[in-house]
Amino acid sequence: MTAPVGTARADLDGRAPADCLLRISDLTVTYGLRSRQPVHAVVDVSLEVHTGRTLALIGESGSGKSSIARAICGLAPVERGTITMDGYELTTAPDRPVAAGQRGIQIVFQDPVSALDPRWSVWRSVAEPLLRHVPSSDDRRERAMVLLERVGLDRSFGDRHPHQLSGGQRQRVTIARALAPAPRLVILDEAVSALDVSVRNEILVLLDELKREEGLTYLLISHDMGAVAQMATDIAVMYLGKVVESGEAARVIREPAHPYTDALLASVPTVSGDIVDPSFRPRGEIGDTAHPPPGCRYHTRCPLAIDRCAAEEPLMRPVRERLTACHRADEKVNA
Amino acid sequence: MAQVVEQVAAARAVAAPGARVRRTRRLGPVLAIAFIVVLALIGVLAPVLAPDDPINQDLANQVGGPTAQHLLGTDSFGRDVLSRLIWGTRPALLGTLVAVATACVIGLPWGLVSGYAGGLVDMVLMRVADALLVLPGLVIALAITTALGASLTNAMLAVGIVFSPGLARVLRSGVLTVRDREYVVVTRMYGLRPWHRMIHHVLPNAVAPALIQITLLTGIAFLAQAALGFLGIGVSPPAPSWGNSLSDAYKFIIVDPAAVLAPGVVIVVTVLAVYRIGDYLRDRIEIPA
Amino acid sequence: MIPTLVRRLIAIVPTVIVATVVTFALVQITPGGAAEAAAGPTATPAQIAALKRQMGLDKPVPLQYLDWLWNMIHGNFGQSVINRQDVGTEIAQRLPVTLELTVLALLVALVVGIPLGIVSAARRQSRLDAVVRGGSGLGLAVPEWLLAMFAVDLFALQLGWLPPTGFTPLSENLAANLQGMILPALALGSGAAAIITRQTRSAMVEVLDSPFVRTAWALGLPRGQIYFRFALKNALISVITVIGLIAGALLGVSILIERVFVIPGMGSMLVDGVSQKDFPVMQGVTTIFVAIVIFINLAVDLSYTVLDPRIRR
Repeated sequence: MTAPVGTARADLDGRAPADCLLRISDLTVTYGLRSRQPVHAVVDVSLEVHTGRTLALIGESGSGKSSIARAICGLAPVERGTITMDGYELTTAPDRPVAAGQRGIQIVFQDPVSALDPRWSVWRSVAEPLLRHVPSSDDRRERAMVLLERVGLDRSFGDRHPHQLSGGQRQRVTIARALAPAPRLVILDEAVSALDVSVRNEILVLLDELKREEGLTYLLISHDMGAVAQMATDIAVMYLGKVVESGEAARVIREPAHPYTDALLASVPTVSGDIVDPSFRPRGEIGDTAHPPPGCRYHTRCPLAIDRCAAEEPLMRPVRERLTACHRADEKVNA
Repeated sequence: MAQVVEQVAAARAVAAPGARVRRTRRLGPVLAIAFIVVLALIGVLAPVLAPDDPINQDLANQVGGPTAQHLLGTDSFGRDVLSRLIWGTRPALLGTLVAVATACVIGLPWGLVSGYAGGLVDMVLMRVADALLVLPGLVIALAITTALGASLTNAMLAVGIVFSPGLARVLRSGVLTVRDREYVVVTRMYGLRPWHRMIHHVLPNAVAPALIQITLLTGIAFLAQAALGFLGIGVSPPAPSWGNSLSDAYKFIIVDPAAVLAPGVVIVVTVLAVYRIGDYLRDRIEIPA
Repeated sequence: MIPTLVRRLIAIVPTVIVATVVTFALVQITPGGAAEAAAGPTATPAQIAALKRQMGLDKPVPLQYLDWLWNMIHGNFGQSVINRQDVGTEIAQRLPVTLELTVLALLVALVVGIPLGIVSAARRQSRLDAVVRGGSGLGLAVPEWLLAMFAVDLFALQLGWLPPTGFTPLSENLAANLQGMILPALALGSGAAAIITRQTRSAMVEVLDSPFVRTAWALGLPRGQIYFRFALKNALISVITVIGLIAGALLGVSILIERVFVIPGMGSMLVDGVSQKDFPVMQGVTTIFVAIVIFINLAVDLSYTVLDPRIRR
């Protein structure tokens, strides 16, 4: 295990390494590894999710955050690196998805439409994770009903079919299903992105309650800074497959150390209307994951870019009690 | 033949939903279903319903016109045409069933495995299917029948075999649509076998275009049975079938031009009924999944 | 053009292999064995063994396949088990007949279908359109061989306009030959005509509704020009797509038409061979049919690349 690195981070972030539930070390996720144009969705990413906290992975689409979620679940191809859950190495398991499930990992996806089999009644979908371990159909049904009540749905929903439910209700069902095997870590992959704003809030509140009541740990994946600000205890910002900043949510949001984080925050409309200095806005469009820019991947859009940024890729280093990968992080002064 | 082209075209192109918007009047399908049900009953009750023994020859009375005793006349062997038509219901319906069942038994697993497995398996299986789809159906069916021996079951088995690559293709396209949906993918984390995924999630959701294809196949299979009977392949004489009744009547068309009407009309009406039911089912099934 | 041709030829190879393997394998899967079947129930084991050797069935299967392939390429299809005639020669005699019938039927389909489709599209929602739609619906539903019989009943027997059966070889008398082919070609082509009518109509409708054509019309371009320059070309392309499929299906159905009109083509040869388990005949005829279909598909593919510049690669 990479203890030395962990210790260094512990000093920095003030959290004991023993609390680390999920550790991702130098993970590289590559699609089409043997094809003509392999796509490195995630490159050399290291993250830690600590028990009882909510780590938010934030970034634009194409940043690789969904790939990390899938890699954890064993649903995306890992080229290099390790993912360890509670000391058990998932990446070398013979059947990775099963291993992830057994170790207490579950996932809630974004699209409530395709998350549930339209031909299955709601309770059957919720109880499906229990199929292997609970042979009795009645038992499973009862447990499914209990779970439905847990997520704020009346038992009568159990016998309905997904097309009879609203988007928010379906998402509750998906959450209930994820809770069925009593997981420890729940990955929320854009879980509220497809919902109306009003419903979104209800679901976020529900998730918060469940976290406290069940003692869950969340990995929240989102491009929506608003949801992140509401739920996250820790944040990791991703750009084109790499982590550019990570640390406690409060710190990162209050004073971002990386220009890209600045830009993301700037995209959140606030009531007072105070938006961060527009000079931090990124220029142009997000790059191509298959052909990333040399040096710092963000340099082509960064308003602070200097020559060094195009030549040399910045490494993650501790700056002001969080980690960030920017050559100019030390000199940055807040507005 | 038009139906053959339609079948192959549907198999080649990925079945696009919602292409037809038709006003279905209730009466048509209901009549059609009623007609088929009546036919089935006739087939079952043939021994009771037929006024005469269908193979009873009366050589003094060949190709006679309609009389009180023989409502539809007699054929070239003096056999009662009406009785032969009544008994002919059996091979017509049974043969169609055999062909469709064979196509399903071969074609559905083919498409399911190909679509689900992907990669090399899929490529090989679909190459074979495409190659087979190019070949003229009736010719291949006849060739297979030669090899197996000319009987009704074998002939309809051959027809079903000819249909199967088309059906496989259609099911495969449905499977490809469904395979990567979340409710399928997520079950991998539950420790459930691929078998469970394929049968309980993929197949039910992928099967809609295949069902449409099957309705098309039923019509074609029925016509194939009649056509093969007409060619003298299938039910062996003296057993009755609509096809060989037609063939017989046609041989003596100069003597009695109206003789072809009875079996001909029966065949046409049945085809129209089968198509009507197929249309109706298609309109109902074509809901975007 | 040449590289495309080569590429297409290579793409066809798997099809040819599968087709030949299938045709060849049919002999192998005969229940009880092909030699046993040909010899009959009263044959002694010694006779069966001799027949096996004669039919080449005692060699290992892959070798048999290659032998058969080799023979075929050289036009040696063996002899009919029933009447001992050279299969190849007989096919050579019957092939032109089947081809003539099929080509004529295709012509009928095109000559009837395309104009009807165009007119139907041009006068949409009119009574003419309705009649054409209804007619094509009927043509699609009623199988050609049934239609043939009704046609004979009407045109040959009741009206006496055309001969009911009887085939005159082309070499003997052109006029008589064509006269005998009119009804068969019309009947065989009916289904194809219906398809082409519908195909042409929908393709024309699509083009006529396109913003491109509507602009031209709004700008005052004469209708005839619009039709012939833009609409027709696109419609024809979509028809050509279907021609490959249609030709293949026509070949199949021609077997039935040959039976109705007693035309000595390859179809009747095959049918006779089926009930008598005449394997050389079955294999020979099947192979030729398959070869023709593959060839037609190749030709359609190539003409497609020539006609539609979008497809050229």
